[in-house]
Amino acid sequence: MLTSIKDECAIVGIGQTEFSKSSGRSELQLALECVKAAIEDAGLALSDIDGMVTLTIDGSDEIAVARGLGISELKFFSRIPHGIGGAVSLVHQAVMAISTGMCKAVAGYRAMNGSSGMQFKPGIAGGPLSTDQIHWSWYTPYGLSSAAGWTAMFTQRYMHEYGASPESLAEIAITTRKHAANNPDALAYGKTIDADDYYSSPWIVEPLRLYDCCMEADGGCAFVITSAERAKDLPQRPALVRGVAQGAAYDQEVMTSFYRKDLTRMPEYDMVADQCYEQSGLGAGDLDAAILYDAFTSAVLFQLESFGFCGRGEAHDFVKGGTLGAGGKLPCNTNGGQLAEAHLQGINSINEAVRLIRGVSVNQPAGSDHVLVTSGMGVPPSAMILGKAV
Amino acid sequence: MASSGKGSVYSFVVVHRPPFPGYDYPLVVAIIELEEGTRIISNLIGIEPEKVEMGMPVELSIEKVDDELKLPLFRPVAA
Repeated sequence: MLTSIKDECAIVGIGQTEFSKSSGRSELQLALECVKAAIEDAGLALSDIDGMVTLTIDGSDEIAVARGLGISELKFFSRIPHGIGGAVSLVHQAVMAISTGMCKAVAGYRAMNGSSGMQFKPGIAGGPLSTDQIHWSWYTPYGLSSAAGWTAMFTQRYMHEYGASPESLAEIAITTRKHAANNPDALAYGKTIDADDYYSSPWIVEPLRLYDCCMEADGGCAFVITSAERAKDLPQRPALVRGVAQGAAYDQEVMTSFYRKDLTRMPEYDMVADQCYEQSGLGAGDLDAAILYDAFTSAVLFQLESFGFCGRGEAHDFVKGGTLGAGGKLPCNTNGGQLAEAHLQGINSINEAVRLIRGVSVNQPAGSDHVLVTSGMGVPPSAMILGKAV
Repeated sequence: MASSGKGSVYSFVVVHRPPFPGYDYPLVVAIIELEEGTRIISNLIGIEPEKVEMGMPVELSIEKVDDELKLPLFRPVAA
């Protein structure tokens, strides 16, 4: 029996559409374009793809993507719930399927018109009754119905308990936009901000300002993953999956786990960190760069602590002084993140991590041998560590 | 178990955007830790948003929203 997934599989192809505020075409069209691009990047034929994974909230069925591209047979397909937590979970699914021989090559994708189509910004109201709707129904009557509001509640408690100042959030916002300004694919390409811009930006939900929030986008990203053995014969430098994990912790709701004793930490992040480190045999000190899910600036603080880059309550100091810059101690969100490249529910994080392993990021730090990628905040998240072949 | 309706502010936010019809902004939403040990999420009324503090004592105030709806809101405890 297979006892470890470490280095069993590798991401061998990535593809994406342009990122925009209005794509002018259907989500299915975006999905087809990015999956096709990823397969071509991998140097594989359409007939090599026999598995597909996406999120439950993606509107393009696996069979529709297969049919649209002319992929003849799928032996594996599955979906991950909870939206933003699921991007890296797609890799988790694919690794299990490939390493157990259920299929040979999987395309994972997420394509959305998140700006011109259904926006997530307004929050939750109506829709079919689900368990998520039931727990949110305790908050929406009071006007707490957006992801920004839910995240702000944790952020406020964190700032209170650890004496964190808005300066730490500003530092993350400014650094991430500096990365995006250098990235022609980013919505915020060419647009840096300074502290004055940050502090004069309007409140969304205090303590979060406009520049603490991600940029809604239209676009799609896809990756192709296969066995490490197969990857040796393909054109791209493989990004080996050293470890990959999902987590749902005690008393978990979707972004609103407000009844836990301590709201200054997110135990579901601890869970995925522990699993990734155990599988890979690596620790925080071995990681050269990180793509941390940043729909909101404060999400980065919680993750830095769970993944052990600093101690509890220390992330707000850790980020100061350029730590997260391309030349800093922990280059982070080198593509501009969800904050400023595009909010695509974390799927673009995978593409950037692969570029870092290949050495081709627009903000490439020296020596990116191991890269952490996470998705989700407040939801059941996922994370993985990618590494170079030795 | 009956609640006394008394508690304190465990965390809070001030909602500015996006606005929904039927609410007055800026809107204070708080996690109230009730004396009995559980929590409830509600609005704080009768206080300016900038004067809300972590840990401040608050008490229940049933408020009529419209002809069909009443909601359990919270006010600062009078000093």
